[in-house]
Amino acid sequence: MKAICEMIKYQYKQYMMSAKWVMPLIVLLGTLGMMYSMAPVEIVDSFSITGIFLFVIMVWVGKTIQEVEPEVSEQVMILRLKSERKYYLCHIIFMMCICVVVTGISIVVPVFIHIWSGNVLLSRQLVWSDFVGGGLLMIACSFIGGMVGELFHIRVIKNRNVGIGLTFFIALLAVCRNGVIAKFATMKYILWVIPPISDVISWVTNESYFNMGEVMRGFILLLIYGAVMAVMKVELLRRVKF
Amino acid sequence: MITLDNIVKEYNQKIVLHDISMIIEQGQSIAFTGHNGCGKSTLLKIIAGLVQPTKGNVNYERSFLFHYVPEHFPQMQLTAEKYLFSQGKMEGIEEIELKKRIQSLSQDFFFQSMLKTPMKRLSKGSLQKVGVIQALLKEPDILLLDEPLSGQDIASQQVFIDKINVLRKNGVVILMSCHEPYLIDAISDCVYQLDAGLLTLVNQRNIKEKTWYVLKFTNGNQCSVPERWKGHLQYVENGCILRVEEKDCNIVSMEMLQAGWNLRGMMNESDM
Repeated sequence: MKAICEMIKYQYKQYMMSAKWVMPLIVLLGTLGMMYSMAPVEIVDSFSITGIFLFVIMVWVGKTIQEVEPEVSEQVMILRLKSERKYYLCHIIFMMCICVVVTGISIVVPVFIHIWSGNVLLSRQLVWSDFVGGGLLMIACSFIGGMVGELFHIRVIKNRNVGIGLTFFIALLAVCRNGVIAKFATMKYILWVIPPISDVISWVTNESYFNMGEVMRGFILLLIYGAVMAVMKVELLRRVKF
Repeated sequence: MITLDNIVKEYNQKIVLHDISMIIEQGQSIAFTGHNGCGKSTLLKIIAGLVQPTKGNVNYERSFLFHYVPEHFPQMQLTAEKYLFSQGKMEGIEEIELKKRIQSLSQDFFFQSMLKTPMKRLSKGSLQKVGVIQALLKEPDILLLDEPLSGQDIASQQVFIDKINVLRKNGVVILMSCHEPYLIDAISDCVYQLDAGLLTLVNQRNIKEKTWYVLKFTNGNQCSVPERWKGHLQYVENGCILRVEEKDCNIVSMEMLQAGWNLRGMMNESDM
């Protein structure tokens, strides 16, 4: 357990020193600023849209974070931890930590603007279910985004451009999945493999308050998809090795 | 301890390792030699489980702690000290003990003044020292050395040899990919040659019987070093050092003197 904690701390140091987090953070803050520049906004809708946006941001983070750790250093640490699975698990936990951070930012920014603007930004008073429901939704969306971004690792798909293209394609399908199935019903037999981000968002929007039952259903579904993708990534990397 | 059964490795339909079988016993120190790109590093990584063989199996008696000194240690944003500290903590070494070990190893390898330098600013030799120090923070079961001395100064090389020999006495398995005969002579008790994918046991006497000398030359007039000795060369303050076999000492001295160098010292390497 201590080794896992130290590994996560090490990944944090490496990531912060790499500056690869700067651009995603600027884009996140910029988009949140734009999203909340007009008042009033519906809390449920804006938090749900933020979830989709966090998915996209985390796809970006997941793609770029692979380049932070040099391959040789990964080899040294896998041997040190005596387990590839442990090493990759540490990385997934670290990604989860990033998801919690971006979710925190995405909730704090509108609350801050709301208070700063004299309580006119949000269409109603905030309640605990907004924090819990919105938070869970955002964490799940961002986690699955991170896993999509990491799935086509440079060691799995050797051609970097093909890897980026495939990642972009899956991310796009995840966001549009609902619309595509509505237009072409038969596509549901193929697109079930794509993370159901748009479905989950459609379950919770158009309501004044978060329906916690729907939020939990979506949260669990997205976590299952994310976990499956994480396992796929780990097993693929264990198979291809270095 | 570790058994390699009929290992084959292909890269782009080219066979790098062909049907390699061997048994590695506790306390053995094995050197793998061969020309560049012959598959020495790949073999080390296959033994450690970092590279998947195309065919064959590697069987381990139990789970071993491998430590690895790569040929090219990567440049990173972290300072050497922070990196080493993280690695030691991952091994479960207590903070106070870890600080002591980092300080002590850095002192031994003449690296103390560079501990606070970001690794991206270190020279190849200094980075290699980070690679060696991280591997020596805790005693492993098996130590993999991939060209461990590349770029390191002579004094550090001797420290390295001493440290590895201590590990050998403690029963640590040393597996090394190496070109330098003096290093093989100093730390290996078994030498294999890799050639055209085949692994053959080399007559160790050929290597062990060689005696190596270190010759120091000074030069104030920017003389050049004869081309054929450049591979043995290391520049130091006010001159250079050449490490050569006993049989070449006279000819090296003569050619260097003719090139305008002044001989300032000569020592048997085993006496250093």
